[in-house]
Amino acid sequence: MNLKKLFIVFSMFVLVFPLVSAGVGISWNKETSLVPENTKTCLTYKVYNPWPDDSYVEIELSEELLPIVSYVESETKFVPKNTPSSEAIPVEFCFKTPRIYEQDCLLFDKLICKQDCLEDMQIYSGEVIVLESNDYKSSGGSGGSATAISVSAPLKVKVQCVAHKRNYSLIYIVVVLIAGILLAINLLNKKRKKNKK
Amino acid sequence: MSEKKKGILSWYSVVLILVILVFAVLLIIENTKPATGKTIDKISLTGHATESSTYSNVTIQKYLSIATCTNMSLGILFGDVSELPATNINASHNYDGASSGSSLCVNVSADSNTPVDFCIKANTDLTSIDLDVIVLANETYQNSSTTNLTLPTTSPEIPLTTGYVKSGDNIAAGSENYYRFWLDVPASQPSGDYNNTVYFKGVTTSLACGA
Repeated sequence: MNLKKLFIVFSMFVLVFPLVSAGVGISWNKETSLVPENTKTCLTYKVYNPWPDDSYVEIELSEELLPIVSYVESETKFVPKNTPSSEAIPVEFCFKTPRIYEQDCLLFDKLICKQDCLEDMQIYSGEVIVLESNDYKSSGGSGGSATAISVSAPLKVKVQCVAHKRNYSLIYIVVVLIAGILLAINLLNKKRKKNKK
Repeated sequence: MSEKKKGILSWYSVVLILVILVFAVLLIIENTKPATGKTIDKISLTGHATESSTYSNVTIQKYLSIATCTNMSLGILFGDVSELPATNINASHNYDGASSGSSLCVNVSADSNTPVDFCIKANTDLTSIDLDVIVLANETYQNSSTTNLTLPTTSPEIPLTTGYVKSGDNIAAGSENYYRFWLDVPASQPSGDYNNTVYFKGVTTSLACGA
């Protein structure tokens, strides 16, 4: 009788909780990011776990995106069991786009520049990957293959070239400073001569 | 002579002041131009014209979640092999599911709003602690969205690779993708425990697996 009850309870457990391990989930609402060159920007993705076991996940970027990424929140994130997509946990990563488009500069390749933006737009295509953390996962026994799972969302980073004319402000400032200094010297000389008289 | 000098100095001061003024004005003009170099539009006045606008917005959200079945999470185990050579050794859970199906599977959560394609790869050959290897081409698999005695099929066996390849297309939310694995061990294989890791990745259907 007791065995029968135990069997019924076990059967109910199996039916209610499917035989699955901890899982990983990703939620996103942006697949393309248009960012001006040489600009830092942050994107937020969300992780969730609708499965009946707690899980630990890490967020990674695919190789194609690594040249432009300066920082990814790389610590292992705990995602409690039964976390639905509506209560997904945000994970942020930031990146700085490189300066890739040609500039025409008058001084030292850096000063008094103009940018015509004649080149094609540079696009980095890759993925944001959420993977089950190996640190918290049991391996596949004494012989055979351990298993690991991940989910990914596509991400395209379009690096925007912002055209601008040559900026002469620096020259103006330098000339004004020189003129101001000369004027000050001139006035001082005048004053000195007046005092002598 | 001194009056002449005084006159020159005054003239010089006036020129300097003019230079400062001109450059200050130029600086202001330069800095008030729009960044694109376009000129600022003139202000225009029109009569009897009405216009209204409203904001329109839509956010497209995608989400997907996967989990391995319990037996898959424990690993792909081939047990003890006592006779060599051995070909097509079944993974221990290839046929222990319902209706003699496989119990090695990956689930797509019902809490997903996009069908999922599965990708599979292994990190390396099956390797012993002493660095003996069973080449990855000897570890093979098949997959199917349903399972029974004949599904996933036993042929063609697909060798695992170190790069992701598709191993299940358009798996709907709330469904599973089943796998069977086999291993060939050559006659000359040194004894020992051999391990590697097999990775499963879920991507939005029709997208490439990536690296």
